[in-house]
Amino acid sequence: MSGGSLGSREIRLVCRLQPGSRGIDGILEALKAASYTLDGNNILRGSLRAELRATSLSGDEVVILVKSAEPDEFRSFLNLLVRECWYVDVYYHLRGGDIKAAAGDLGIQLPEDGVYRSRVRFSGVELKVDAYPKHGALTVSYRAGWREVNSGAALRIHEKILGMGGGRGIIGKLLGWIR
Amino acid sequence: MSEEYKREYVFGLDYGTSDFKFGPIALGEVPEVIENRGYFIDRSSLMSRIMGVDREIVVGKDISRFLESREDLAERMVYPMRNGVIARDDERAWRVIRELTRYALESFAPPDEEFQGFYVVASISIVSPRYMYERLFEIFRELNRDRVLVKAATIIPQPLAVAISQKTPTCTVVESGHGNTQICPISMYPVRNAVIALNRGGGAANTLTMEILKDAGYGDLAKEESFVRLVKEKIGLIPRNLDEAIRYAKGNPEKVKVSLKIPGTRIKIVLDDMAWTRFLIGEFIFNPGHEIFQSYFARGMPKPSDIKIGDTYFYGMMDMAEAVITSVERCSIELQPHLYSRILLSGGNFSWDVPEGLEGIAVRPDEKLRQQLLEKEIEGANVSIVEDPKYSVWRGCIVYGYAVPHDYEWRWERMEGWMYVA
Repeated sequence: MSGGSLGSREIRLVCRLQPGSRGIDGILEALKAASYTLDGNNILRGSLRAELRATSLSGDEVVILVKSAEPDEFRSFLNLLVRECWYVDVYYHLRGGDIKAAAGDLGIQLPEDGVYRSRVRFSGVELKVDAYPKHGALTVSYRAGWREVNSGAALRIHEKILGMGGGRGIIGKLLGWIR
Repeated sequence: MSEEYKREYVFGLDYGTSDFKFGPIALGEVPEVIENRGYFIDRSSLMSRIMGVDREIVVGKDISRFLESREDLAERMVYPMRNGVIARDDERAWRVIRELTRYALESFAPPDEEFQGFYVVASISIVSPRYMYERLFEIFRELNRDRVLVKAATIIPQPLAVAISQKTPTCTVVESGHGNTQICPISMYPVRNAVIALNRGGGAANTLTMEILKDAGYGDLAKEESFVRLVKEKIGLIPRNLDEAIRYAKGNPEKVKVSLKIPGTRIKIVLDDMAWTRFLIGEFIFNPGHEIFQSYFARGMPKPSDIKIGDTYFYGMMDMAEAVITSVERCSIELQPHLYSRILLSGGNFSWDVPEGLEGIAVRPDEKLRQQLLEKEIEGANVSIVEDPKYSVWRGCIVYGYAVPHDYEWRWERMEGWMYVA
């Protein structure tokens, strides 16, 4: 009997659709046109594995969970989404050992207990940090639009939070990150 | 209060029979997990006064630091959701639920002024009577007296939460936890008059594991439930066919034998010539009526009994496939093929693996149920285990809370919407 092995990194994308848009259908068509494979709720292309998780009843938001992706593939995916959406809120959920490293990279000293909330700037973007040190959980989020993706800030944030900066080895670069 | 605020502060609570899963949407896909239990401290004792213990109930990961003698455990440890239903007047159980809920919400409540309470989605058994809904709402209100923790709350049945997490509007959910198993056809909403409940879950397999440990000479250790559960999780196997698996194990003992060292202790469990009993643990969950279990019942192991709680019968010995068929056949004939075509297994009692080298002899729960259904002439059933079955209810809570608009207020006649409690 297994306890259920889980990874420690997830990315949640909350896509706010443009007023008057065709809702999720517009996003799905754009994904198909860009050669993404749609299999049920799964979105696949290259190293990217993502899943449609929820849609608000009012149809104004769509939640997508990115399970794995090379940085370039992630940037390309985000690029497509911000074209179709008003904006995309990007959430990085880290657990366990990853949280201290990620907080340290962002220049944050986490307390041992309680709920920690802060805002830091990186690459000209304001990042919101929510940490629950007692539970070994950290969430970093920011709002991505055209500017954040085209300026390369989104990719730099991605690499910073997931520890994929210049120091990463060739194997790591080949593998991307895997849950 | 805006929709944007609600989406940021959705909070899921899954009151499982053994584990309590909780956390805000900000946690991503994995909730926090603690045991659904509380320990009542003897505050009149001299030691607790010397040590300055001012709490009456302890919940969460601190419990093990407060445990007293083994004899006290049975009296002072309360598992409030043992069979999914709490009696209306079981005040000790309700106090534990209150403490667990407070512990969960306070763990994640931000200290800043922007926070005005979570939008809580709680999930309980499909057989829970209406008074449990009323009592939970009351607890949320009570918790707000010291500090606002809950802005609004809603309560959904666990099988519906599973269906929501899988985005599957038509399916049969088999949710099996520690204390019971709920089989619930869903066609947009739960088909309540087709629900079948079994009075057994992971706890029944624990009971059998206890007997196996006694027979193997570890009777003194078999008294502690958390230890027995650990042994079950590490050594238990589901056989494709029990008789064949036992024959295989007796003919190939080196492939099935197992030894287990308990971390942090000197305890080591070794099953050599009794290794075949590993298959009994998994079989018991699916088919406790197999004749091999008669010898255990004859020696005093309690038989899962039929019981009635509220208006619901919990069947003890009905096998899993029979329960699924009985449930589906209470639905319209037109719907039945759709219900067999998507059977979702969820809950911690379905987290079983097949060890390397035993493929084909041991199987996963989905294959076992498919096989059982086939033996009863249900062909083409599509059975699958949801991803991370232990967390699927909590994930469904989060998706539900995210999707239901903040201005959709609770309606008792439909049992849906937000009840504002702050």
